[in-house]
Amino acid sequence: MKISLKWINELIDIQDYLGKPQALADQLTKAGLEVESIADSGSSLQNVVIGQILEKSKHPNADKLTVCRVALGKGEVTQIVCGAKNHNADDRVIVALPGANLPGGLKISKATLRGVESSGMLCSLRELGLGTEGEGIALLPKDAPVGLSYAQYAGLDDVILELKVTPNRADCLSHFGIARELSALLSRPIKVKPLPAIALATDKTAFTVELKNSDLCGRYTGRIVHGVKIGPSPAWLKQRLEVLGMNSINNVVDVTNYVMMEMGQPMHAFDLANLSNAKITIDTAKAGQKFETLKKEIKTLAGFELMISDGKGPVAMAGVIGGIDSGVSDSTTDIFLESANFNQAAVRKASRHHQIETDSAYRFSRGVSQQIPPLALERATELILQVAGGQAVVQVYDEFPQRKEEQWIDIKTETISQRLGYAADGTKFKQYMLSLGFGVKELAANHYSVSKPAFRFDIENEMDLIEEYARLHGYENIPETFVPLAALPSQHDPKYNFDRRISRILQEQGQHRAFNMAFANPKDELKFLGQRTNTVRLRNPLSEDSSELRTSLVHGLFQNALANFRRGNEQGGLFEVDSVFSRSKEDVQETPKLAIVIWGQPKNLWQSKIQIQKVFALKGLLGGVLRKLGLEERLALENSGARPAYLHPSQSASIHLDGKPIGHFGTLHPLLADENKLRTDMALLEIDLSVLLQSAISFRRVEPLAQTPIVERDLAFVMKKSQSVGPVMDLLKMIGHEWMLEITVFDVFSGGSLPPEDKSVAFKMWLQNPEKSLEDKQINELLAKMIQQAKDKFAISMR
Amino acid sequence: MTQDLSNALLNDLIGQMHALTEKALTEFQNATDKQSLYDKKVLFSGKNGSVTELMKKMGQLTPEQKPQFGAKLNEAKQKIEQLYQERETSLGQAELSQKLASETLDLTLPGFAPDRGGDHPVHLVTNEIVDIMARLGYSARLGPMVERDYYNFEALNIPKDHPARDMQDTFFVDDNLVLRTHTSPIQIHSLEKDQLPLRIVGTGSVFRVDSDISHLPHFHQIEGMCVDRNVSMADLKGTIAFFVREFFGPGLKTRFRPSYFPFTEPSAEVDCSCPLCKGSGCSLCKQSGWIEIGGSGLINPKVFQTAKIPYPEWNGFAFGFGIERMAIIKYGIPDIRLLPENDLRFLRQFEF
Repeated sequence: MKISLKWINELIDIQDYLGKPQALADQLTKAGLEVESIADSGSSLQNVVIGQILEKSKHPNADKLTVCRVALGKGEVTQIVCGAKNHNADDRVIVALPGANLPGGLKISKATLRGVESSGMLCSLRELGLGTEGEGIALLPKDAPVGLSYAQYAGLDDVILELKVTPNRADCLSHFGIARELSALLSRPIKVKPLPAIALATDKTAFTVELKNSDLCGRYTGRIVHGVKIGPSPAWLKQRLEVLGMNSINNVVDVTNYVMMEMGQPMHAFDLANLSNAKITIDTAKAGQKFETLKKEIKTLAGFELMISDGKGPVAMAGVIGGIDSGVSDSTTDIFLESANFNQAAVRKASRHHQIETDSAYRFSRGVSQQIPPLALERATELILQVAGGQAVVQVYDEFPQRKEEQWIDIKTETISQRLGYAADGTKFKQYMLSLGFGVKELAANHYSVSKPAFRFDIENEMDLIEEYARLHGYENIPETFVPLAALPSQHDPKYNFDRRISRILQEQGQHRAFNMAFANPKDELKFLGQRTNTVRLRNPLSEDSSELRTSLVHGLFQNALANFRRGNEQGGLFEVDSVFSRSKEDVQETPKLAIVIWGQPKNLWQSKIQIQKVFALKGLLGGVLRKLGLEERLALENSGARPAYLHPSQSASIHLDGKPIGHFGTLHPLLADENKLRTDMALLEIDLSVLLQSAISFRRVEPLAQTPIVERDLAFVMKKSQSVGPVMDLLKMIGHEWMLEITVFDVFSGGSLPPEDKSVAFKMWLQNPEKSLEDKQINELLAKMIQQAKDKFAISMR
Repeated sequence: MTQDLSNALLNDLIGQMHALTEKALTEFQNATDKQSLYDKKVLFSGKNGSVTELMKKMGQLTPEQKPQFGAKLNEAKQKIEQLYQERETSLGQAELSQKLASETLDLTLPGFAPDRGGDHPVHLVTNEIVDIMARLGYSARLGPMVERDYYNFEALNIPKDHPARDMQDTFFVDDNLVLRTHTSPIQIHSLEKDQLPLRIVGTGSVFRVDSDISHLPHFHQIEGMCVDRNVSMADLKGTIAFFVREFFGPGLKTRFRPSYFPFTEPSAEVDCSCPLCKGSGCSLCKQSGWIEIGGSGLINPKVFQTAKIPYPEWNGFAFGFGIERMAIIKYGIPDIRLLPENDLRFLRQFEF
């Protein structure tokens, strides 16, 4: 919210701060009213004054230029060369004198233009940053006082503070509210202005106000003013609104806005002639009813909105916006002025539902004091009579069904001390409370009862009073202490530990953790995965590209890898650990996943030219992760079954743990590689972590180290190229499990003397009997058994 | 055989023996590798070597001369062995140095390093904060990203149609489910589940309908909460001040400014002296010397009331920080949008 310091200065004396607005801003910020910016419009218009052209003559050396002698007041006259065409002798103009530093960045100094001296510039409003029209210089009215600073003349000698008012401080959404806060902060009184005697007329106009819904309207006051003359506002009123960024509409509407900015009470003026049957009813809308706003938008009412209606239908959405037909127009002569109090939640709901944001709705939804409507009504009447004439009717409608008992809160200084952590002082407390407009009763020593003022919607309990104490005493006075541990710490959430552990394991294997946002483009993700079910759609997405929640992590990682490759990161590995989303009835299921993408070959292989296929590197990586989690024995790969669309169908497998599928891995589908011009090998993996989380071991107990010799043996089989090696290896492992330390494949070979459909696969085994040395006979028997069973089961033979 | 003859024979044998050791010295010196050296040694002291030949002639000596000659012979044998050993050692050394020289590698060639791997700054910061808070007895807690309205708003004293809801632009799944707008719902879950007194640190993803040069619609927060018998603003400030010094560096100051959060009362914005300029003013802190890092306050009694925790017997404080903001301040990340790009040139700068 913007506030004008000149305006504030009318309500509380801050004359000493006008020249140092930063000091005032610091006070406000320290008290919780954060000042976001300070605009000192006067300072940018220094050395800009009103002048009068005494004489205009042609420039001797330039056709398009004129030389003007300009009076600057107090007998001072200067010479200025000007390129405009619209000025004449005797005109009052705006003169930027040498030393002026205009808002657009233009610095004015003495100059010689085509041989003629010029001591300044005649300005257009655009050059002063005040308007958009650039044709010619600004010509001021004949009564503009020559020599006066233009800022002062135009009411621009002001400092505008932009405040970030938090939703709890509705009482600070007006100049009076800020003045009241400053009164407590600076210990200065508010300037009390007696309301002038208003010329009141008795009136016989038959007019009724019927408040039907007193839940949503706590107070409704209003008054008729006859014989107003609608027209433009006087300069002072326009300026007041314009410096705050509001548009001037006409004198009556401007007054209602002025009172809102001054006192915080939103108001509305109806054209009495347009209120049918001379009545106003305040009640909730009928569902389906139409209402056209003064912005000419037709709204279909839902039924919960509180509406102001006349004999025919709705004329305003209470506290939100007026209707098209009932507002003040140029032909209006009699008005009904509304100053009411509407329910916070109801106004917010209506405003949000119909997407109508107004200053009025903003204030009502945060809370406006129920005490203020009649005061605002008086102030507005006074101003309307001043700027639009007319006669105010003495009778004031005032329906006040929600008159509340004063609320008293009990508090001891001891509690303040305990909660703030330093010794609070009772006398200071009392003083702070009174300065903020609270009532204070001293019940006993250091024990008080405090009444909250009607304008404070944030005060409900003793903690709120403690905050007021802390605020006025200064947060900088809070010391730094520490709560001793009263109980032993609990354990971290196991999911947090597991996330961290998985992440550490992958980092140890050279992978980098990635973060992708949880949003998904449903089309792209579907195309990539080939399947999406039970998806979660956002009601208000930022765009269609991010309209759903992701069902997979691997799509994002693939995009990351592509982007990396295109930027010259030809090789790398990324992983992500996070949850994906699915709909389940009323709820959304979050499933923790791990996805990995690896691509490209190391660049500096000057010694060995052997390239490891990424899919095997990825399989090794997966094995490593499972080994560290103690789950490697429970892992199985399945070649059968459906595969996600992004994987190469014959270079991928599904991953099973304890026989249950947990995910897939494989080489990127070659079509995807082509489509994205990816000229490197890439492998991807995605698995469900929930099972892993439950079954992972956290440590192993140590096994004794056997001292007997280890025997190394090779076995090579010839088999069909189409046969899988894994089952053969599993068989050998099973037969030899008693003594088998390790088994691996050290060669896969085809060609040479082998038939074209065959391959030779060579296994190497390390055997050890931990009890006693293995004898040749035992080993040979074992190998014979392996060869025989492999032959029986797979129809393969020794090479 | 006469004594003289016998003496002559003895002298002759001794002479031969001396000649033999002399010869062995020369021969051994001439050997250029270990094998030929050994072959030569066998010629002297092997089974059929010259020494044995001499020994066979011992039978011709008198019984008195025999031990005399035997002693000399042993001496000679030892001498030869010693000469052999010396030569072998020196040959070994030469061979070794030759072998070593022949195995020279150009170590200026590049080495083979596996990728180092590394954490994402978001998680790096999260874990660092959890570790710092764990030293004060705080335990990590998580919660769902898709939250019920109750946990994200109602229970945190943000009723429906309350303007405080405007402070956080919310993504809705339906009337009841939202993408959590802050990590504060974790406080409510903890109050429902955890034993009192409690100290927890909640972390994770949060979402707001906001996407521009300085905001991601999906970002991360970390939230600390302490509930105990008698907790004060001073305890809160002391805790945050400890955190600030641990995380950003010793000597940094912590400042509180009054603010408003529906779930705390009193509430405070937390600033710390700028870690870059240490408070003297720079572009990071916009010359103010201070950096805003988060919000905090004493837990609002209404939150306890909703969670059915007896107040004021129990009370507490809570504070929250934006992880991305912490990372940006600490590591000097120039643009928040680098975080979800996962460019390895960026990520590799976090290998530590």
